[in-house]
This record gives sequence, C-alpha cells and structure tokens, in this order.
Amino acid sequence: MSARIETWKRSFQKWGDGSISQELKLRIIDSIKPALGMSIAIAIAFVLDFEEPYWAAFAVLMMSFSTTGQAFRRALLGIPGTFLGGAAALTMFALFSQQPIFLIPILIIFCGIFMYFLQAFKVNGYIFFTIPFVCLVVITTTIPEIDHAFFYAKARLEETCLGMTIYGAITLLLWRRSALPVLQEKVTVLLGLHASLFDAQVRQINTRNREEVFALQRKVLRALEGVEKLIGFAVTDSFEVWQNQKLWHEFVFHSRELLWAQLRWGWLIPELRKEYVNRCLPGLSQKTRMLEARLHAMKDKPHAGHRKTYPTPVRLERDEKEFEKLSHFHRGQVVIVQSGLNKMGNLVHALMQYHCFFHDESLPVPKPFLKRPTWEFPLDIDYAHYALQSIGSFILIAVTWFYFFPPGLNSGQFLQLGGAFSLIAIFVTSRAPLQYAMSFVLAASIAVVLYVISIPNLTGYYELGPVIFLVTFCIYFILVKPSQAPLKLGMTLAWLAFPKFTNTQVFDFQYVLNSGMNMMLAGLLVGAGNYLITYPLPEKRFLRQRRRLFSCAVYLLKMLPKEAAGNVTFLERLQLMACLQGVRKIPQKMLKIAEEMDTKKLGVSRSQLGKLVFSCELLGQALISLHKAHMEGHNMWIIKELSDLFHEWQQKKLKIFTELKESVDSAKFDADDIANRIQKRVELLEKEIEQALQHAEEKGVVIEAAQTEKLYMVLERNRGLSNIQLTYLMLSKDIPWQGWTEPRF
Amino acid sequence: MPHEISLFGIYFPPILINFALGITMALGTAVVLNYFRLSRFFAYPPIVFISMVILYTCMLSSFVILA
Repeated sequence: MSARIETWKRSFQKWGDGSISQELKLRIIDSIKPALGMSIAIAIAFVLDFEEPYWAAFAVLMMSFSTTGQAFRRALLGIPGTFLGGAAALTMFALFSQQPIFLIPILIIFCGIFMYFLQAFKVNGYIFFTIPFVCLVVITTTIPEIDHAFFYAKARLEETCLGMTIYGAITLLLWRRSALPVLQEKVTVLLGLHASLFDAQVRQINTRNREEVFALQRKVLRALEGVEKLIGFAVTDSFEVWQNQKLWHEFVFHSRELLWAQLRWGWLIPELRKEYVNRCLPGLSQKTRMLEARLHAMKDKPHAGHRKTYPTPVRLERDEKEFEKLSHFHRGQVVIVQSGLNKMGNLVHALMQYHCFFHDESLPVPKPFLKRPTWEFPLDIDYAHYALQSIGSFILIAVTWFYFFPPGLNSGQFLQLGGAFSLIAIFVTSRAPLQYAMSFVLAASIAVVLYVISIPNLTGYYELGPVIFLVTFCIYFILVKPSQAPLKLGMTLAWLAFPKFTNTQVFDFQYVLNSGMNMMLAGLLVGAGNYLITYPLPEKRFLRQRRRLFSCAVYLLKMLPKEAAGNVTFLERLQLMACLQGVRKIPQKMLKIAEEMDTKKLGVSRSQLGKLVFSCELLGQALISLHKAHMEGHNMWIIKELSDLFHEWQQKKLKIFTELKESVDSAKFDADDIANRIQKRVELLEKEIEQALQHAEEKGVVIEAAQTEKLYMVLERNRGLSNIQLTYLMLSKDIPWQGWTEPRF
Repeated sequence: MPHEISLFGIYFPPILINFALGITMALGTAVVLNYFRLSRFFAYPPIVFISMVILYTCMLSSFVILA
C-alpha cells in the first residue's frame, strides 16, 4: 500500500515533465496553490462560523508565493503584524472613540509613518504594511458599530492565522519548492553576468562600444537585488542558508563591490589602450581573462577542487624599470590600473571562497576580503516622498468619504478600499497614476459581472468551492506580469470581498454594485491623489535626482578639506554619510526612472539616455574614490605639501558642480577649454611634484614607496573626476533639456 | 433635486458620474494646454490638474447633474 502511495506521490510531483514546458508547469502550479488555499480557507472559516470568512482568503492572497521560503517569511511577518495592527486599532479607539475628527487623521499619519519604513526595510518590510493595513481594516469595518472593534480585531487575527496555516501546509505538501535551488540558480546567473561584464569590457578596449557594458551592468544590478531578496526568503525555509546567513550577505556585499570595481575598471578603458600602461603591466590582458575564467569555472563542480586549483587571488605585478621611466601622472595611471585589477582579483577570489563553501560545507569557512558595513544611513527623501504621497491620497479619500459619503452605504467600506489602495500604491513600481486607477476600475467591473453570472446560479456550498477555485485560478494564471499586479490584486480583492461569502448567503446585487462603484471611485481618487506630492512625469523625477546628485557632489567636495582635517561636527558627519550613500544610490534610481521615459516626446534616444546615466554612475564612483583617496592620504607629507594645488583644483570642480546643480543647461561650458585647462593643470602639478620631491631630498625627508603610491592615487582620482565631468558635459550638450524642464501636465 | 442616474437599468450615484466626467474633462484640458504649450505658465501642473478635477466635478454637480 505504501509503495503504491509512493508511486502516486512521485507521479504527482513529476506531473507534466516532458509534455509541457517548465514555465507553463510552474505557472499552472503557482495558480493552483493559491486557488486551492483560498477555497479551503473559506470552507474552514464557514465550518468554524467565523464572522468574515473571506478574510482568511485574504491571508492566502498576501502570502501566495511560489517558494516555501517566501510564503513562510510572509507568514512569520504577517501574524505578528496582524496582532500589532489589531492592538493599534484598539488603542486608537480607546483614545478617540468620542472624537472621530481625531481618529481618522491619526490613522492617516500612522499609515504614512509605516509606509516610510515599509520601503526602508527591503526584506522584512512587509510587517510595516500589515500593521497599518490591519489597523485600517479593523477601524473601518467597525463603522458604524464602534463597540465591535475588539471582536473584529480578534476575528482578523484568527482568520489571518487560519489562512496562513492553510497556505503554509499547501506549499509544504504540494509541489514543495524550496527557495535554496532558486537562489543557487540566481547566484550562478549573477556570476555569469560578472564574467560577461569582464568580457564586454575587454572587447570595449577595441570596439569602444559602451552600450553593451551599460546593459550588462543593469542586468547585474537586477540580479543582485533578486539574490538579496531570495536570501531573505531562503533563510526561512533552508537550514543551510539560515545557518550561514551572515556569509550569504557577505557574498552579496562582495558581489556588489565587484560590480562597482568593474564599473571603475570600465572607466579606466582609455588608460588601458595606452602603450606605456601595457608596457609597465605586462600581464594585464592575460590577468583580466584569468578573472573571467575563474568566474566561469565557479559554475562547474567539484567545488572543493576550485580551492586547490586557484589557491591565491589573481595579482598583477608591474615592471618597476619601465615604471621609473614614466612621468608622475603616467605613473598615477599605472598605479590606478594595477590597484583596480588587484582589487577585482581579491574580490573574485573571495566570491569563489564563499561560493565553494555554500556548495560544500566541509570546506573551511571563508574570510571576507572587505568588511561589510552593518548599518546604513536610514534617511531617504524618495521614501519620504512616496509616504507623503500615500498620506495625500488617503486624505483625499477621507475628505470625500466624510463630506460626500459615496456611494450610499452606511459603512466605512469606501474608506477601507481607498485607504488600502493608497497603501498598496507604495508597492507599485511604475508611477503611472492613471494606469493604477484604471486597474481598479477594470477589476471592479469584472468582479461585478462575475458575481452576476456565477452566484445566482449556485445551489449549494459544494458548488461555491469550485467556483472560488476556478475564478482565483484564472486570475492567477492570466495576470502574471509585474505591471498587472494592481489588476490582479484588485480583482482578487473584489471577487472575495464583494459577494460577502457567509453561512447565510444571499444574492444582494445592490450591495455588490455599490461596492464596485466604491472601488472604482476609490481607485480613481487614489490615482488622482498620486499627483499631489510628487511630479508623476518621469523626466521631472529624473531632473530631481540629477539635482540631488550634484548637491551631494557639491557638499562632498566642499567638506573634503574639513573632513580630512577632522574638524567635522556630528551633524556634518551625518550629512556626509548621506551624501556618500546618495552618490552611489541616486544613479541607480535615475536608471530605473530612465526606463519609464517617453524618449520620443523628449527628443532623445535610448542610447543617449543610457550614456548619460552611465556617466552619472561614473561620477558617483569617481567622487567616492576621490573621497577615499584623500582620506587615506591626507596625513602624508608630500600630499600636505601639494594640498594648496589640490584644493584649488577641487574648487574648480566644485564650481562646475554648483553650476550644474543650479541649471541643466551645459551649453555655456566649453569642453575643449576645460580639457585644455586639465592638461595645463596636470603639467603644472607634474613640475610641482618634481620640485617637492627635490626639496624632500635636500631636507633629507625619506618618502616611502607607500607615500608615493598614495600620492599617485590622489592625483589620478582628481584627474579622473575632472575627466568624468568633461564626459558628462559633452553628453549633456546633446540633450534638449528645454523640453524636460518646461512645466507640463 | 439630486437624483440617481440610470444606465442600462442600473442606478448610479450622480457624484460618481460627475467625478468620472470631471477627470475626463481635466485630462482633455491638460492635453489641449500641453499641445499649445500653455502649461509652461503654471508653476506646478500636477496641482492644477487636481484643482481642475475638483472644479469640473463641482461645476457638473451644481449645474449639470445635480448631486
């Protein structure tokens, strides 16, 4: 008997293998699981005679993910979140039960604050959604019977637990899919992308094709985000990941650092073409290929063998004789290229150590090459903007509900739907407000039609279950794209909430139609409310980010001497941290916004836009490198000697940044003139360095090799930033900024 | 006297119709203003858009479909 069960189980798990594609199979499985979960959750809620059985199905909706790890993480965050949300609702009722004029504003502010944290915490942020959402649902469901608040808070918690337990059981028993293999697959893709980036950059030396590098870099960034999220999920369902979670996070950190190092490497490509660089660094191209080969080798087994085959990092040595023959600036270029490749070599080696350990835990625990910062500055203006936008939409909903009371129901349903939509708007990646509103209008219309077609023709609860299953299955099967998420959510929500499935089911067309109209109106109002705080047009958001990037650059350069001298106050240090974080993060935001832009309307091509964003990224990296080089070298005697010259050079850069911050127009900058001035400055510094070294020799000051290395770093970082400024100015000249800045709807 | 609107035998509240019409009219106005490059005279067009939706909805509710 048990053998027969085992055979059934196996054939069930392997269903469809060979006859249908893997994608279709996964799509069917991912639709069956939530559909089944919702039907069972509603059925059990009926049996237990719960007050609002569809809430149990909502819990299933909220955790309906493909892998067990994702689902369990949602459950682990959702259950305490529901409890806290219910408690918050009861506290608000206890404090303001006699003053509804305070209750709603406080609820709105409460939701807004939590929406900020929802965005700030990428992996565990869901708890910050559940708390205000449950609080909103409990408060609005009790209107107009406020003495039922405790009853509804309790019911919500019970049903959330019910729904999450059922879906948890389903993901465990049916087509169990652990997050670990998905994570490992994604990591392999990520390593392959790093390797392709090396390959593309080597080719770029000859072809000068930047677009391929830009596209690859975008893919690596996306893959990194995916891996980071999957680690969060895999921690919940795989013991191996949970046990080594610190190492997994270090792996992602090293991978991200490798990406930035590759980006800086890409910016060195003009130097790589130079003959003297290749003469001083004879193994340059061979070592780059070695890095690529190591990344490819990581994909293959046996993992233990890799450690023996590649015991040390790839290291590039320079030919000292050739090096001595060069001028100081050329030496600077050689030092930068060498240190860049050596850093990448160390990072690739560290990644290999981690990767081998994840596949074979009998190997020694890897040691990090770089220390991972455990704390990040928590302030992000964009998060605050979107949280304020959510507050604005909610206010619009509350005012409409309070004064117009639409459309005719004596309940808080409109407030509930509108509040929920303004909270959900935070999740929506595309900021096209009317598209968001139309999703809910369409969802409400389809749900009303579905109700009219299906519910009156049912004769018993045995038919209701399959209908709930079928409708949910179809919604999940059809709507799979990320852009369809609001429609999918709206349709599931409307389909489950409007018919009010209860033990005494009645056909109430008027109620369902009213609910549908409530949903449409709420969706439209929230869509319109998204125009309140932030400018919804992508080019305006792009310009805002651009201005912010230059503000950060200005502040960093302005504070550089003060910071090097150690005279910064606590607040200034915080601001510096925010700026350093900003110059790295802002170009990534610009990249996302650039994807939404209507390039035809703006009179700019995709490749132009891509190059512009790419130059902003380089600008950010150049600033970070300059900051680091100055901080490391400010105590050196030789750098102190030349500090006035460096300071003057930085002031020139600061002037350009200040002008760029204030105006988008770069036509007034003469690129050739700037290039000439950089060249002259380089020549002047060359002489000054020579003199300073002679003085040192006369005075008997011993300058160690490390000092000169640091000096070359500072020199090259300064020149690098000037060059990137020049690149940006040249790219920016071809863009018709007037169409971007002109106010329009 | 406010009254419901009957479409295909279904009664709709007047505010819903007015609001939908208000958004449509505001969108139309925005397109026209964009086309003639008149929107550059507004400091912050998103707020103007919201104001137009409210104005149109109120005007329709007061003079056309009473709500």
